[in-house]
Amino acid sequence: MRDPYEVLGVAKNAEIKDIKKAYRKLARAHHPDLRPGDKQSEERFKEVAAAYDFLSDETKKAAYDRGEIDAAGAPRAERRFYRDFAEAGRGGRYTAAGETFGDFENSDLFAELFRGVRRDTRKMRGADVRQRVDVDFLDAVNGAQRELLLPDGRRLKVTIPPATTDGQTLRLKGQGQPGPGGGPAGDLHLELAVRPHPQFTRKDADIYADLPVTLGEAVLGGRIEVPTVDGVVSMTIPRGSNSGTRMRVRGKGVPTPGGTRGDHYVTLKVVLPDPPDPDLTSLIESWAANHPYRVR
Amino acid sequence: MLSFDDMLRLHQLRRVELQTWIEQRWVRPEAGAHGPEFDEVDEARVTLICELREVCVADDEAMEVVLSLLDQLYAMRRALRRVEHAIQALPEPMRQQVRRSLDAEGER
Repeated sequence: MRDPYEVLGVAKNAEIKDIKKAYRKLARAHHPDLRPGDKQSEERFKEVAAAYDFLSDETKKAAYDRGEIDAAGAPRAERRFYRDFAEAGRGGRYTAAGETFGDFENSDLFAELFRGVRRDTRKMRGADVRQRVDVDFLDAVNGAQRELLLPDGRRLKVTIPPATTDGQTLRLKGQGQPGPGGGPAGDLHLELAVRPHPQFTRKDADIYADLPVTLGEAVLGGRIEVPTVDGVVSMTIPRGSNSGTRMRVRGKGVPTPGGTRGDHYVTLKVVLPDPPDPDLTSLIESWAANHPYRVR
Repeated sequence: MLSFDDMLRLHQLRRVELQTWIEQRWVRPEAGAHGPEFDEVDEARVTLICELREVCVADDEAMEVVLSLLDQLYAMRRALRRVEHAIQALPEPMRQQVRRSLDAEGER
């Protein structure tokens, strides 16, 4: 590339704003689409644009000013200017409004010359839009109607289907981009990101949870209340239930297409009193000495 | 063919900007099943609008005028080419006659 300062016609110590001003003036003067008949304008415009790109890159400019690099620009990607299409007739749909050639259209010689190909945007459907939104774990499992806040700021009432999985997409017709010129709107593809739940984990149609139990409940058994995604249920813990014991509650899991639900599984976790109970400690002191048993 | 979102990304436009340009018929993409579809001509048109904004056209009103004049200019050029081809296709004596007539017009 020629010296970029020379190309833009500015002094080497010119301020950035003057460099920009010079670029804009030359770009206006040589833009090929603004001078369709000028063959040289493409080369001239590309040279000016390349020089400006180079000098507006602070790092490159500084290095060039210090003499560290030369202005070998990256070759500009081949691009087509609008004039190339317009001249060849492919810009037909961008024909000026008919009235501007009204004086020629009535001439028997030229009537056909100014007819263009119209592309009517009036009926055009708007673009589809993709967005992502968080939903609550229980809403995703059981289904819910919620007003959701979308990333674009809109509030939309959405029906979350039961058994929604993380990443599932809802297609909401007509909630995408409005059609230009009043055409029908495109669709909104809403990706549902399911938030994790502090206690419940889902695997297909079943729910898994830990179930803390007291020493007394574990050793002596008893009835306890267990939360599930479908309300609280009462479970009987057998006498002598150990940590890690898995128990199943039928039909309290995730809704299935058949109209039933999967199951709810709990894993018992025996929890000692916290802070430690002095009575328990002294009880165990006398017991442990006489009742060793192997667990490791 | 490029989609609406492709165009936003390639030319760093805001959604509402490109939407407005389509409504004002500055860009005339084809109507696709999932929204507007942009071919090479439409893309070159968008590049032109972005460059005009960068170097000389400060506001929408001015852009409206510039694009209108450009469209008329290109329509005239296309028409003139067709006239040129039509005349070139004439037999030589008739071409001569046309040429003489055009020269005479120039001198008035």
